[in-house]
Amino acid sequence: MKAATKSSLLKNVVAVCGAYLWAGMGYVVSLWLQLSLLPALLLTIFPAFLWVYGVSRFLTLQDDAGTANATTWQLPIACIILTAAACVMIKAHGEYDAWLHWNSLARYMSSPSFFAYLHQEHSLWHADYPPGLPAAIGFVWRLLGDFPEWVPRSVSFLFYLATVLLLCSAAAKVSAFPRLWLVVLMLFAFNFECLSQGLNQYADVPLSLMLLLVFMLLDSYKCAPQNFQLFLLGFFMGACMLFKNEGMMLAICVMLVYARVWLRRNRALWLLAGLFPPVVLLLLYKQYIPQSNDLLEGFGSNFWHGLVRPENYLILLRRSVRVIGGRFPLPLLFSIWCLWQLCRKPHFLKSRKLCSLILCFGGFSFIYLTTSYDIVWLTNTSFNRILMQLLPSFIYFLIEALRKAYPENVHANNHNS
Amino acid sequence: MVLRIKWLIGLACCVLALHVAHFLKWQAAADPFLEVAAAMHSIRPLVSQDSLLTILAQGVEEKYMLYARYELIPGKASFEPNPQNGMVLLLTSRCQVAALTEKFLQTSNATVCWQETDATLGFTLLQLK
Repeated sequence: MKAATKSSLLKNVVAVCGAYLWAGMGYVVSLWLQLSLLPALLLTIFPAFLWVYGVSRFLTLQDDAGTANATTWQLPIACIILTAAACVMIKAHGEYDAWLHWNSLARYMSSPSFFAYLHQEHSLWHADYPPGLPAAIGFVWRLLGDFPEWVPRSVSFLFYLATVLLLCSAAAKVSAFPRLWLVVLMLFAFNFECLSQGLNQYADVPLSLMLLLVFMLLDSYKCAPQNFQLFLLGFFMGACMLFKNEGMMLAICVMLVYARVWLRRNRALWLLAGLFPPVVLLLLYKQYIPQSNDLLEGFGSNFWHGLVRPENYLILLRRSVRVIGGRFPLPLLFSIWCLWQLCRKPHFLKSRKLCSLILCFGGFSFIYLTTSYDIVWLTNTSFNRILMQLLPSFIYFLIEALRKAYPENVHANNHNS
Repeated sequence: MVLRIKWLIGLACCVLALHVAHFLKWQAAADPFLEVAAAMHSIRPLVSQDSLLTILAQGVEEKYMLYARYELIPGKASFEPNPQNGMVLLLTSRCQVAALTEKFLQTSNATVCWQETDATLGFTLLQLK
């Protein structure tokens, strides 16, 4: 039996997530064109199918030797444990944001006539939310002729499952710590905050998966540069934008911090080609929706004022300590343990990767510092979700750092001695 | 093909288990939603899709949102009474139902021939001339 390695899993996730997005993008175009069901179906299915074909045909990922059967049994176990935890934790009535914002938006997208209402002022609270997540759900609802809730719930759970499986498969490759994958699984299966957000169809988990894919593809690109991977990187950065308003800031931060990667190899055109479809669709969509972007509203006017207020930094710091300690205790303990292990290796401290990550995440926190809203209210209502968006990427960074700091041969030597 | 059948079957089983768990919890939950849903279902046939004008403000009680999740039709910003009976439903929060009904009547300049407000459930059914 061929092993399900990290690369093949990553390739699967890239194929499925990309297909989901292409289907959504195609469907939004069909709604604009007011197409009937059959042409809309073709416009939705065809780009998704083309994407899956393109990924399976052209994407070659770097696969590390010696870890070929690292994940043959870990991943099914991870699936079972995560599903069991989800079954216990799932709420009978779901969550507020999921159906008030995302499912409502999906219902607007479930028919061309409903979609036309989005034109109107005050059509929907937060009509400015991007269409990446709800468009495909709206498409399935249109096909079914009903609005069953199992559709968005399945989508949400599968995004969560994919995120955790990718991290577990990456952790299974750290041969120095053979039970690391189990610890990573426990972080996401038994931390209520993570699980509740994964189960209740917030868009934060899909956004966190898109960001994770960007970092994973970036690592793969650095090992074995391939133009198609750059295209994928651009596409998934665009996907971040298409999933949530915050994703715009996040994608811009990543793009700027890692600019040396795309510019040094003089292949920025491939990146831009990948970025082009989701960004163009998003800009057209935003143009189409009369409501202003709640994240960007007042951004310019408050930018410098927010940046130079020391109280803002203190509020952010206090809130970070409270939310990380209170809601993410397991990831916090895991991070401390990892950092302790890594600090024993002096070359880790010289690594530029940590600086890059801190720059990305620090840049992202500008959405709080420069907001036109009351920063206390904004951090109270959204900081836990923002952390969830960043958590998988941060855990992935720690796992990869551990893998590089503790290579297999060193561990074997230590074991023998 | 990049996707493998055994993985797809496995994931489908995971999702199915999740929905079974959700269904069981949904069945077991004795909640005010059922009461609201039953009341709303009884008046639902009176109200056409376009006339369901919702005033869902931030902070509204959860059970109305639960109702809205199942029954709410994406509505127009401008309302149109049901052409057959002139009915309009204002769905709002319990504490705001009177104030929002009055505001609606003022801003819409509508002439009401019959109206019933349920302050317990938080909605007003209006029949316009």
